[in-house]
Order: sequence, then structure tokens, then C-alpha cells
Amino acid sequence: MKSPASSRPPILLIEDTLSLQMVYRSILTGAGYRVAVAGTAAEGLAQFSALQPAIVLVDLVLPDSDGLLLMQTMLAAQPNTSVIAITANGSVNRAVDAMRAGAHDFLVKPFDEVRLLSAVQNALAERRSQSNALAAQQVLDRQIPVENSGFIGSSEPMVRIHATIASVARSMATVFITGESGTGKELCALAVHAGSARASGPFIALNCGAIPQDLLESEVFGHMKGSFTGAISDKPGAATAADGGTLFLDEICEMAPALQTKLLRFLQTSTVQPVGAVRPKKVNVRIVCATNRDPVEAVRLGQFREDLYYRLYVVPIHMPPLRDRGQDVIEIAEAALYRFASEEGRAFDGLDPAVRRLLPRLPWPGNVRQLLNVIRNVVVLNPGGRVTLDMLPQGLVDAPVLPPDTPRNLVSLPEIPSTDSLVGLTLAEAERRLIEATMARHGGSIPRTARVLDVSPSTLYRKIESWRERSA
Amino acid sequence: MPKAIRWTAAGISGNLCNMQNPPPPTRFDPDRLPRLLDLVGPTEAGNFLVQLDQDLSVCARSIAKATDRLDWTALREASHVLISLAGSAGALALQAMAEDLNAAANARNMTAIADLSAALAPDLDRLIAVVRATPNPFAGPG
Repeated sequence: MKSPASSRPPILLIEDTLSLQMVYRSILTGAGYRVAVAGTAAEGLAQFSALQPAIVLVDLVLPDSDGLLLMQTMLAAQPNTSVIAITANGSVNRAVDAMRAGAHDFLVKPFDEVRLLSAVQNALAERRSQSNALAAQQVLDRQIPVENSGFIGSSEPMVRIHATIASVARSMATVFITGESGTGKELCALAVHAGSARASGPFIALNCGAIPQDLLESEVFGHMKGSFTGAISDKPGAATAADGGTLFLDEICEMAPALQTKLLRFLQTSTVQPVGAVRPKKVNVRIVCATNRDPVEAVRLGQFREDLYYRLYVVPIHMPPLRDRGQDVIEIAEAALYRFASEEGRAFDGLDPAVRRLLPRLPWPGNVRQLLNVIRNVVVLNPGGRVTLDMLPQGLVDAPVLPPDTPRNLVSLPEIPSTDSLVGLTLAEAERRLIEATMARHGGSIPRTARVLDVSPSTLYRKIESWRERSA
Repeated sequence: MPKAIRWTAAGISGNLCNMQNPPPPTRFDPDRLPRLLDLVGPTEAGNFLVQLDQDLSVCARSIAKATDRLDWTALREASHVLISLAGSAGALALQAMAEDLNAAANARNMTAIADLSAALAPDLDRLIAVVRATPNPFAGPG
């Protein structure tokens, strides 16, 4: 068979187990690719220098050298090479190391021909996409420096985060953002998108904890008209809507196990199959995900698939809580003050020194979100001038302050209603009080509240929505 | 092409099922080896069977030798290769045992190594025997 890609550089396959090398080579040549093979690291490096392949498949365990080192040597010489790391089941952490070192993708042996071809096709598609986006990227380089991407704060932890975002944004690597509720995980995801070659593409955010589990599959992958009751028209899911851009999956650890399996399949094949669709569809999406939980603990508890964790947890970014960001709290408060004052048509004149001393010592369980609410409250309820202590919400000023180095768990927490205080209330009212008190204790975090109360986050979102509707 | 795949898969599965000897390894998927032969095609199928036999035999010798000498590096490398070969050829229990051996080698767990090596040896021998008994489906009858 004549290769359709005969004029292009070959794919370099470095695999020392000869029977497997024969199988992989046959699959690739059968699909029309030119393939060069090597059985050792030395031979692989010689072939790499001679052929300058666009794609290299490299086994991470080679007889004469570490495959990871070989990969790094090749990427140092030709940074635009797409390396697909091959490892064996049971050594997936090596694949994660490879992804962190710049691999485009990884394959876990034993794998079938569909997975092999899919990885190669994805690498080729990504190279085409990068080539097309090069001009746009040069414009972005000039116009969107990361420090202007929405983050405020010059504390040491935030400087590190800016640096990580700047280095990871242009790769295809999946970013896994962790941090407490209100620390700016979605802003971080937006900064990764804005700094990437996909910045001109869509940024689609989906909160996996806010959507009832039975609708989540349809929200992520879409559905076809008539595929279930209520599916009155075709609907593209978030994964399709994010084609050419970034899909941000917030509260990823809240995703039901069945959907985790489908997400893993999607990540491996880059294809989506809407509910009720006969054929899968190829999409080109970068995944950024976030959680306010400890993902390792979620894996340990069996709530999050280990293989999905390894697939997603490639470049971790931990957003620090506001209480650990020193003087950032002042910078954020002042920036918000002037922005909200402008929106509300008020004239404020900065923060009083007493306020500047107080703010960094508060525990801020709701983090930046809570601080912004406090500043909004000040701007709305006061005519202007310098912000003094008496302008701050009462509960905030009365809140226990943190002497330096105070452990977080020594701060007194909002009280959960006692049984006596609930007697005489309707069941619905007692439930509401319990939910609200639990939320207050957990900094407003619905996923954490849901875990404590042993209900799904979507149940809480629905209840809160119904309370709002009733009070409106 | 699809016709050929169906023929070889069914043919070899049938041969394996009908075999009195050798017995297949534990939890053996008889469709995988025929599929590999289809993938490598008529030109390479014969060489592939010889090479697979050699690779598995090297694994068996390396694991036995590395277990005797507690050579962790050799154990890691040989078990790594065996995971892939066993899984690709359909010996699912052997693949799982090789994964355990690889984990024990990485953890330098001396007590587990001897047990695991002894446990997987019979299945590895059976897989080698199956590979040796598998005919080249493209070589024609006789």
C-alpha cells in the first residue's frame, strides 16, 4: 500500500520488546503512516537526529537508558516534537512523570490498535492546530500577559502560580486546579486558556456538582432529539461546544462514577458520543479541571477513578487560601473598592489604617469571594469616603482574628443549631437552618456541606434555589 | 480484509479450544492472539510467533534469575515486559500477577517476590506452550 503520508517525516517507534515492536509498527503502517523503529535508546537517539520525526513513540523502560531521559534529550533538541510515552499497566506514575516532562500523551500497555491510532491522530491534529494558531499566539504574547489575566496579588504563592500558568498555558497538558472554595480556581482556568494557543477558541465552564447527575451526561456530551423524554431537539454538549478551545470541569470529584468512565474514554479518544447518537464525533478540546476536595483522598475513598485521576492530574496548581496570601488581601480589597465604587457611582478614598491592619488577620473562610462580598456591602451601604471599621459588616468585625501562626482549627466556627432551638419549627424550616449553619461552618462551600450532610450537591443547589424563589 | 480477520480469529480460537495439550493459562482470552496475528499480517505472522515465543522465554529466564539474585532492576524490567506481553496475548491472570511482581520489585518487597515469581511461572509456561502450538493462520492448511 502506498502511504498517504510518504512525503512527511516518519513516526519514530522506540520499543525494545521486538514482538510488540512488530505489532505497533504493523498497526501504524497499516493505517498509512511511515514508521522508523529502534530497539534501544542509543539507536532511537541516532534515528531521531537523522530523521527529525514529528512524532515519537517511546517506551519508558529501555535496556540501555531510561526512556524518560531519552524523551527529555529529544525534547531539548527539538521542542516541537510530539512524544507519546509508552508504559505498562502498574507503572502509570511513570507516565505522569513523562507528561510533566513534556510528553504529549501516554499509552498504557497492553493497548489496542484504536488507542494507538487515536493517540497518533490526536498528536497530528494538535500539531496542525498549533501551526494554525501561531499567528494568533504571537498577537497574544503581546496583548495578554498573564499578570493582567484577572489575578490580583503579589504574594510569594501567587508569584509562583503566575509562573506555573505562564509555563503550562501553551502546552496541551491537562491542568488540575485545587483549592478551597472562593480562591479563584475558575480565574486560574481562564488564565490558562487566555495564555494558550486556543485563546481565540471557546472557554466552556461546567460545574459538575451543580447539575443533577442524571442530566450531567447530556450536559457534557450532548444528546440527540428523542433520545430520552424531554429531548425535544439535538443539543451539543459542553465537550462539543468547547471544540478548539478549553473545557473547564469544576468540582470534578462530584462527578458520578459512570460518567467518570465516559470522561476517561473521551480523554483517551478525543471523541464524544451524544446520548442517542449512533457515531462518535472527534473534538479537539483541552481539559482544565478543579476541585475543592483532596483528589487523592477522593481516590482512596473510591469516589474518584484512579486512572482518571492519573490522566487529569498532570500539572497541578494549588490556589492558596486568602489567609495565606499576606498583603494580597489589601491589594484585592482596594482594587475591588474602586471597581465597585465606579459601578455604583460612589467615591471612596481607600482603606483606613485600622481596616488595613484588620483584614490580613481575619480567617476568610470564604476566601476572595467572601472578601469581594464584604467590599460590595461597604460600597452599597455607605455614601463614600475612607473605609473605616464601622463601615464593615458587623459579623466581620466581631469575627475572631488570627494572631500570626494561629492554626486554622482554633478559630471558633459558626454554631450548628441545637436540638432545643429547632423544636417548634416546621421540618422544612429546621432543615433550612441546619443546611445554612453547616454551609456557614464550611465557608459557603456547597460540595463540602453536601458531604457533611450526606446528600448530593445538586440537592442543596435545588433547595437553595427554591428558598430564593419563595422569598422573591 | 474483514473476512480474513473473521476467519483467522475463529480458526485459531477453534484450534485452541480443541487442543488437548497444552492447557491455556488462567483467564485466557483466546481472541487476542489471533487478533495480533491479523494485525501483523501474512508477511510477518510466522516471525511474530517466533519472536513472541523468544520474548516470553527471555522473560521467564530473567524473572527466575533475578528472583534468585534479588536483582531489583532486572525484576522491574522483566515484569514490565511481561505485563505487556501477557496482556497483549490474552493471558489476563498472568498480566495481573506480572503487575503485582512489578509493584513488589519497585517496593523491594523480598517476601512477596519469591511467592509471586513461583505463582506466575506455571501460567507463563502455559502461555509459551500456547504460542508454540499456535499455527501461522496465513501459512495455509497442512
